[in-house]
Amino acid sequence: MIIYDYEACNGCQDCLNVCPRGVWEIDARNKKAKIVNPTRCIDCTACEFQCPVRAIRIERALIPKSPQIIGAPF
Amino acid sequence: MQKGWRYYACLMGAQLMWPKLAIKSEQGFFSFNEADSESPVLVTTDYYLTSFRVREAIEEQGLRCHLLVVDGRGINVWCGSRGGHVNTDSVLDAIEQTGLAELVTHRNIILPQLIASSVSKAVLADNGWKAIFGPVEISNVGDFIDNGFEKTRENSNVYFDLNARLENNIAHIVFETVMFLAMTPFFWLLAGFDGLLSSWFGYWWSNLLYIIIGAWTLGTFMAIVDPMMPTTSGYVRGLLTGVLALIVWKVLLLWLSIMSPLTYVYEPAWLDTSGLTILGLSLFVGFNWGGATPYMGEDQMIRDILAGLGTLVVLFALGVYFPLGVF
Repeated sequence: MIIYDYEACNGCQDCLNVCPRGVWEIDARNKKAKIVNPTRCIDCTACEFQCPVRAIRIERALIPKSPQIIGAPF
Repeated sequence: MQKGWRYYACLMGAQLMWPKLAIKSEQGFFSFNEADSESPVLVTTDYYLTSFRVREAIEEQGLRCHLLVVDGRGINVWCGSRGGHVNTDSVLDAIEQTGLAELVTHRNIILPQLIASSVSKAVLADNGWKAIFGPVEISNVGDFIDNGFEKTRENSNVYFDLNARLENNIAHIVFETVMFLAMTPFFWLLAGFDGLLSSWFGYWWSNLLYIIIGAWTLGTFMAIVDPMMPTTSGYVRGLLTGVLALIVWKVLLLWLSIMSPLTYVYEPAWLDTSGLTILGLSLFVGFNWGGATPYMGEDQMIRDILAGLGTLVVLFALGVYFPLGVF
């Protein structure tokens, strides 16, 4: 399960560059990362480890849960 | 490049039997195609197959570059990274030991993308090195360098094509064969007990060859039909394949019985000894295969193990309480 702090994201795209499953995409309008394929996430934690502003956290849940996004305007 | 015994031992999954059997390649700094001090530096780990494939790709593409092979304890990049066997310190140690700062004039290193779970770009930057995550497949690294260290979205994603699946299946079936052979002494010990337990060794020993061939067939089937499976769960794949194999097996027995009624082999109860063996075997192969694919998350793995163990206990109980078969 992905916990993502939308407000903290600085749009550096490191998460896009390291995700091997295409979970992330860049929101061209707001210049911030957004989750486009949450079910493809395999908890490899690459995005969490590389995020320079620690906006991403990966938690392993026994029951699958949809991503929690903090501070998103939508 | 010449493929020696080490290459084939890696393909057969030597490291799966025992971590000490992992075949390592030489660590250090290597230059290709007359690379100079301005040529890019690629980084990889010391698992023999990984290092061999990287060198092969560099030579095939004729890249003028350097290669820094870091200590990854003989484990491939992705598993080593997620398992914490290679980390930022491994890369910094290799940089220090090879004296990389004196060998190149720039401060860029191209890391494999799949090492990103454990090698920190920020810590490398603090040490004066700019880390750039390259493409997933080494075959795309030439384009990556030509495009000024930019990669397409497709090159960031992991794909598991038929060749990779069949190659993976070799290690998979060798591993299962060794596991079944290793389980034989356990059944042999059970033969020393009275009653039901003593009959298990006879069943295991007389059917061991069929069980191994069955595991090979199921594993190869799963490798081929992998993209058609509706889920990434190893448990569901194992169960679906098992039900399909059971239907094929029973239809075959029925057909044989109709063709030659004198040797009547069809059992009306589907969950008899052979039926339960097929289902149990398929679940076992499904777990292993699911874990061998690059699309299975760790939480999915825990769910699979819990569901799989539960189902195996039910199959086991059915076998014990209904020795002549049920359903």
